[in-house]
Amino acid sequence: MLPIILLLNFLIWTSFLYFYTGKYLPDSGRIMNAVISVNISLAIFGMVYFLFLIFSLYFWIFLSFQSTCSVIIIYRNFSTLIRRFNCRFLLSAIGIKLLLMLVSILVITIMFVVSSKKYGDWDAWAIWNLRAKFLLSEDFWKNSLNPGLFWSHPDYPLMLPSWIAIIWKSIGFPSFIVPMLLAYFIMLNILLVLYSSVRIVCGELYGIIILVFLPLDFFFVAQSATQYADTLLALFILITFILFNQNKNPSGFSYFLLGFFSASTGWIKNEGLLFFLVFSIFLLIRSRKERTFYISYMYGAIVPLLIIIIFKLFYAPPNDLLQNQTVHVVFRNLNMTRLSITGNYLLKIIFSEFPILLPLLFLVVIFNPGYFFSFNGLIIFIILFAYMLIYLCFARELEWLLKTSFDRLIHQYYLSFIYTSMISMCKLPPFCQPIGKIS
Amino acid sequence: MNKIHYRIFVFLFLLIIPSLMIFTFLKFAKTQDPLDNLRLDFYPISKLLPNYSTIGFFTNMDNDHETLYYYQSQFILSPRVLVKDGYRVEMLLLEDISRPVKHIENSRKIFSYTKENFRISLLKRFP
Repeated sequence: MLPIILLLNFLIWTSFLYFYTGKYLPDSGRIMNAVISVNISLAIFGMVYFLFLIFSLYFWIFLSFQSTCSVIIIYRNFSTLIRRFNCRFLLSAIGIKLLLMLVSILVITIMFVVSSKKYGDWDAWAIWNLRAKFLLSEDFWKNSLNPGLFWSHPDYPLMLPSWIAIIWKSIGFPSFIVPMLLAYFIMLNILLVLYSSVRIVCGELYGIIILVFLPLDFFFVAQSATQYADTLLALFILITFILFNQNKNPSGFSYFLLGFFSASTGWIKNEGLLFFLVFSIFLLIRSRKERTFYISYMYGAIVPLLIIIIFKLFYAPPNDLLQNQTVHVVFRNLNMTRLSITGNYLLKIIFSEFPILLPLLFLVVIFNPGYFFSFNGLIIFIILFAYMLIYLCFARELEWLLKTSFDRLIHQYYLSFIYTSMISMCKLPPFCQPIGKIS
Repeated sequence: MNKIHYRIFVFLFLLIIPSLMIFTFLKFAKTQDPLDNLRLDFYPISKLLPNYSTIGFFTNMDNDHETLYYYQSQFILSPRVLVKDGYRVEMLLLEDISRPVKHIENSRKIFSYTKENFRISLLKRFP
C-alpha cells in the first residue's frame, strides 16, 4: 500500500509541476518539462524527508504530509489538470522520431544491464547506499555521523540516499533493485533531456547524433551503472545549463527554477557547492541589468541552501580533504611533480574514457574558439581548473585520489560540455557549422 | 512504414525495454553476491545486537581483506556502528581459520559461527 501512495503522490506532484512548467517555460519542450518536473518532485521529497528525520517524525507522517499536499493540489487545480491532461499528443508523437528514441533507449538499457553490478561499485554500497540504510531509521540516522565512520564521508550531502531511503521505507526492506532502478532512471533522464534540448536548439540532426552516440558511450553508461551520485549531479548541472540557455524569453519563474536546480547540486555532492558558487557569481555579473531575475534566482535557491546549511552547520563533520590542512602544507603541495602527475592523469582520462570529448573539443577549437570565453565555457573550465587546484593543494595521496575519483569529476561536466559546445556551434552561421542545421 | 507499423514497433519496444530490466533484476536476485553471503552469515548476530549499538570490529586478516570485510560488515549491520579495532562492550571478530588466532583480552565469546575457513564471533567485554 505504501509504495502505491508514494507513487500516486509523486505522479500528482509531477503532473502539477509539468503543467506549470509547460505554461511558464514554453521554449523547453515537453520532454525537458517532464524531466524538470520529475526532478523537482524528487528533490523536494528528499529535502522534506531530511527535515522529517531531523524532527524524528515517522514515515507515515511524511506520507500523510505528502498526501495532504497532493489533495490540496488536486482540489485547487482539478479543473485545470483535467482540461490540460490530454493523451492525444502521445499518439500523435508516434512516428520515426519516437521509434528512434526507443531504439536509443533500448541500446542504452542493454549497455546498462551489461555494465551493472548487483550492489553497484564500491562507493555505491560503502557510501551512498550505506547512508540510505542509516536514513531508514528515524531514531538512529544520526549514527551515520559517528566519527568512527569517517571513511564513509559523513559530510556528503543526502539527496540520493534520501531518495533511496524513501522508496526502501515504503516497500519495507532495503532492496538492491531500488538504487539500480534510480541509477537507470537518472541515466535515461540525461539521454532524453540532452536529446530534447539539443534538438530544440540545433535541429533534428544534432538530436539524432545524441541518440546515436550517447548510448554507445560505454564509459558514460558504466559510470551511470556504478550507482554513484556523480551522475545525478551531472543531470542537475546539465538541467541548470539547459534552463539558462534554452529560454529565449527569460522570466522570473525560469530564474527561480535555475536557482533551485543550481543550489540543489550542493545537496547532491559537495562539488555541487562549488558549481553553485561559480554559477551564481557568473550569473550575477551577467544579469547585473536584470536585478529582478537575479532575485528570483536567489528565491529559488533559498530552500536547497537552507537544507544544506542546516546539514552542514548542525550535523555534518568537517570535510576530510580540507580538515587539518595548514597554509604551509598547501604551499608545499603546490610543486611541479604533483602538477605533472595531475596533468598526465587528466590527459590519460580524456584520451581513454571520454570518446566524445576529444573530437568535440577539436571541433570547438576549429569552429568556435570563442566558446572557451563564453558564459558556459568559462564556468565549466574554471570549475575543472578549480578541481585540479583542490587536488593539487589538498590531496594527501594524490595518485590514489586521482585514480579513484578524477574521472568522476570530468563525468560531472562531460554532458554539460556536450550540450553547451553543441549549441554554441549550431548557433554559428551555416557555413561555419560542422554540420548544416536541419530542422 | 505506415502508422500501424509504427504503433506495433513502439508497442514492441515498450514491452522489450521494461522486460529487459525485469529479467536483469530477476537474474541478480538469483545470484549470490559476497554481500548476500555475508548477510546470511550475520543474520544470527544481527538479532543479538540492538540498532543503537556501537560495536568494535576486529579481524586477523591481511589489510586488504580487513578493509573489505569491515566495509561490508558495516553495510550489512547498519544502523549499528562498527568501529575498527575499537574496544567496546560488544565486539565482532572475523577470522580466517588458516591464519594465526586473534586474541582480544577481557572478553568472552557469546556467539560463534564457522563456515569453511571463515569464523564470525560476537564477543562481550568483561564489566
